[in-house]
Amino acid sequence: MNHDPATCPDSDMLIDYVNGVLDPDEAKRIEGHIGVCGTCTTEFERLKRLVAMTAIVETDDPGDRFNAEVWNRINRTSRGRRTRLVLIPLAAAALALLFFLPGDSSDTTEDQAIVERLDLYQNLDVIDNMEMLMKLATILDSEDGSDL
Amino acid sequence: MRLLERMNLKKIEDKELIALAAKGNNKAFDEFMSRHRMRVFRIACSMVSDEEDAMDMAQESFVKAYKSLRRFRGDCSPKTWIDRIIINTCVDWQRKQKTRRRLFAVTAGGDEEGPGLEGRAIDDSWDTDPIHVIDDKRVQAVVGDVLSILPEKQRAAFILRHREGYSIHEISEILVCAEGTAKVHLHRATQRMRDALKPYIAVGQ
Repeated sequence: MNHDPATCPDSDMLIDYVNGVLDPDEAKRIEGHIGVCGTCTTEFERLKRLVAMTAIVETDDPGDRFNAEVWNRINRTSRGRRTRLVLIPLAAAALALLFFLPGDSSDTTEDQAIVERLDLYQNLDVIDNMEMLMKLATILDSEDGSDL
Repeated sequence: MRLLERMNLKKIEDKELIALAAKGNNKAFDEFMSRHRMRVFRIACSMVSDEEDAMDMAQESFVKAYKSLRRFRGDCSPKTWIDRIIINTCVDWQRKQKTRRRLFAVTAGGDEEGPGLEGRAIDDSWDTDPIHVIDDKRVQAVVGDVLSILPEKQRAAFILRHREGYSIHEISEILVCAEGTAKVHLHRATQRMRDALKPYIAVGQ
């Protein structure tokens, strides 16, 4: 039979046939056609070769070492998660402390110096007042004496 | 006791193993891993060309599966579930390694899903005579190179269909797409593979 594009399956259909995705009726029709038409048969053989060639893949069972490595990874990540679970609240607590506690030591020293200076001024005021009182007392004493 | 437990685990189905593992039975998960590691590794080898990377991807997939055990709702089989994880892991990894993946010069002409294969430069070391290469181990390397240039979903569809024997329904579950979309991915992959491997599949040699 000569290849007739009007009646022969197109290459898309042959691909779908080889991929095994055609519905049973279509698949049957192509099955009957292959072997009758030379061109379609050649194309079909080519696709069959392709599938056979690409289906080969040589891999060995990776063995129990594979499982061991997976468990190692699982344990590593769960340890990491546990560490994070402890560290995150700790870090949050540390941040809270920094926020609520007074500033650093240099600020404290400065504050203390200000307080001390204030105390000193207050003391000086007291001294001044005392001097004024002493002067007043002296004046009063002398006035009292003069009155006598 | 332990041996007995292992023997019992070997008898039970995947779904039950996963249910046990979700409740904290690590031996059940270990058994599940032993059952599926070879196929998962094989899929990884098909998806990424380097064996060491493939091993890394395969192991990472089981770590991901373990972490999401409680989220497994049984909508698909555990086998489909782990295969979906390995495909996604490889796809994510490849997207990150895109520059490394481009081993061959590719001319413009690819569609929106990826570069075209038509103008790819064939390495000088490739033996283009099919008679000499058909049983050669290098054929696998050539196939691997061509596969690596396919867009990820096309590659996954092709591998799952022709290397793992999955049905279109299963492929659509793994790729999380409609069956029609899975068919399109597979069709385009086959077309591209056929065109790129023309010298190796010529009939009558």
